[in-house]
Amino acid sequence: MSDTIERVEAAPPAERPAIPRSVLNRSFWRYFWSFQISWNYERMQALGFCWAMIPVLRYLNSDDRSFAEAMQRHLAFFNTSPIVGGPFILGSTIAMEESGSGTSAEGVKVAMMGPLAGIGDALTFALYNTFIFTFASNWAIEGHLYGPIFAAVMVLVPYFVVRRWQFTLGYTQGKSMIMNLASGAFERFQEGLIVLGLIVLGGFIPSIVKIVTTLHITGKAPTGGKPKPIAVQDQIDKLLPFLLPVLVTALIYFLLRRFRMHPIWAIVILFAIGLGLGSQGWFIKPPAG
Amino acid sequence: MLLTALVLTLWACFCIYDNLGPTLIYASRPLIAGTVAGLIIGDVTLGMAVGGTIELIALGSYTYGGATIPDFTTGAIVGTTLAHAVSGGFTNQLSVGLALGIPAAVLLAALDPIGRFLPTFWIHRADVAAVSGKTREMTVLHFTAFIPWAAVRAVPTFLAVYYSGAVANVEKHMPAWFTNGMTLVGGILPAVGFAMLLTLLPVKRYWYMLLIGYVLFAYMKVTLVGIALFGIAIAFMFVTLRPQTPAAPGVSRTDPPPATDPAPAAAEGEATNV
Repeated sequence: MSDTIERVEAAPPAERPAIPRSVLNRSFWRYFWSFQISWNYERMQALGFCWAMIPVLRYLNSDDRSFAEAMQRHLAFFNTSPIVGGPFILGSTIAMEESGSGTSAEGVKVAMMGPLAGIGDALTFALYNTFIFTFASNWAIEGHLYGPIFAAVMVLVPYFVVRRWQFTLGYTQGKSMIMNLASGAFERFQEGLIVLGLIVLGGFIPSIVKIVTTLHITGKAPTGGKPKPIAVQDQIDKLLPFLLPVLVTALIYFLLRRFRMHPIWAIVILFAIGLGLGSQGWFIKPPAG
Repeated sequence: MLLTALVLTLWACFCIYDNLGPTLIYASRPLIAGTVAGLIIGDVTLGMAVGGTIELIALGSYTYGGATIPDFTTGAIVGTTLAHAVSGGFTNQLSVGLALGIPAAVLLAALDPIGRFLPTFWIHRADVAAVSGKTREMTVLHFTAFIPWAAVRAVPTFLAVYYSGAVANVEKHMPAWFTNGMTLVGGILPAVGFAMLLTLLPVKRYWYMLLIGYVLFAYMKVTLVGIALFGIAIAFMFVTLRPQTPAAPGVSRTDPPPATDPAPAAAEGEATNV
């Protein structure tokens, strides 16, 4: 540790040559093509991060011993969101290493990985992907090939652009950027996405979850005529259309939330109930006719 | 059959690689995995239907922080293949695809921790390699650590596809009760995906946003694209019109008094653009 501090004092940042573009790019592509492939329970994305750092570390450390030490440093536990978050941290860490402070690089990684993991996962998975893939799946089930193609393109281009942009941003702006983001603008952006997500979900749930009741109630005969069965579903449709899909979703939400039920159990239970009740012809739309 | 099994096994490996690595087309999402599996066996429509349905079940399930979730990817591939092996109409095939694909996904979740655990040995070897500065060895270790990840998916996929002929004989005559049951299963299982998503979002604070979407769809018969556009407009209004007193000290570093003025002006500009 005393080593690195000495080095900062000896070589002011201005004197150090900036890392060439080609070296930076090698780091980025290493990250891009293979970031998580060596993921493991013990240190998660550590090896992937270290491997992406190697071109930069090699360039900055002409001395073999300090190079080996730098590699060991970057094998420490690391885990964050791979699409939104990871590239930014990689860029910032490179900037810190370039400024000669290995300990700061360490600090940047540890400080950013947690918060960015939460933000990144929510943005990419819960909000963006849900949006894209619900539309795409609906089209696919209807038999349109443009459904999956739409999803693939909406991943291919934005996912690359957003990673490349963050990497450059992280390298040039580093830690100061995160402080600005935390000051409100980013939070508002996320809030907007959450609002959008919830409105869309409100429409998605009744349109995609499919369950109707086939129950009929035989009412009293109106003045001497034959008693006519009343379809309960028709009555529901008049008051609260799509009541059952909403109720089923609410029930599962309640089980997951309140009782912290594992989603696998929710799937098993619905599978069993669905097969049991559906086999009797209950709760499914009778063939159109 | 051997060739198909090998190609599909390769596809299953690519799916997990794409998930961990470049995320080019998100091949690990059941929709993409199932569609391409359908292309490989020559029945895209079936692949899209099986993959799409499983996708809706898997909507909210991602490996947050390395959690194990049902392996819907392999489930979609296996489900599509087995469905194709069955004779009978499209509805029959789809119900078989779901009946086998979903349990396969749940069961294969048991293998996932093995794939996540084994690379731990690799990272200890990487520690040793780093001490002696061997970059080549680091590279080799980084890439070979992927083998356990791929293996726990490749082996079940290959076995299921290679022996898919066995299913064809068993399911020659699909009883009506079974098809009916699977119709309901396919109808209600997406509720799990939506419920999981809702647990990630601040429902208590913004429950009325759900209501807006529901009313638009259920009463006003707006299409999903229409709801999305409406949602974008509401989100913009919500963000720009909201009083932003708490954010002020951080945002307006330069000059506090005029900062309140340009903000609504910019907000109006944005709103009209939408």
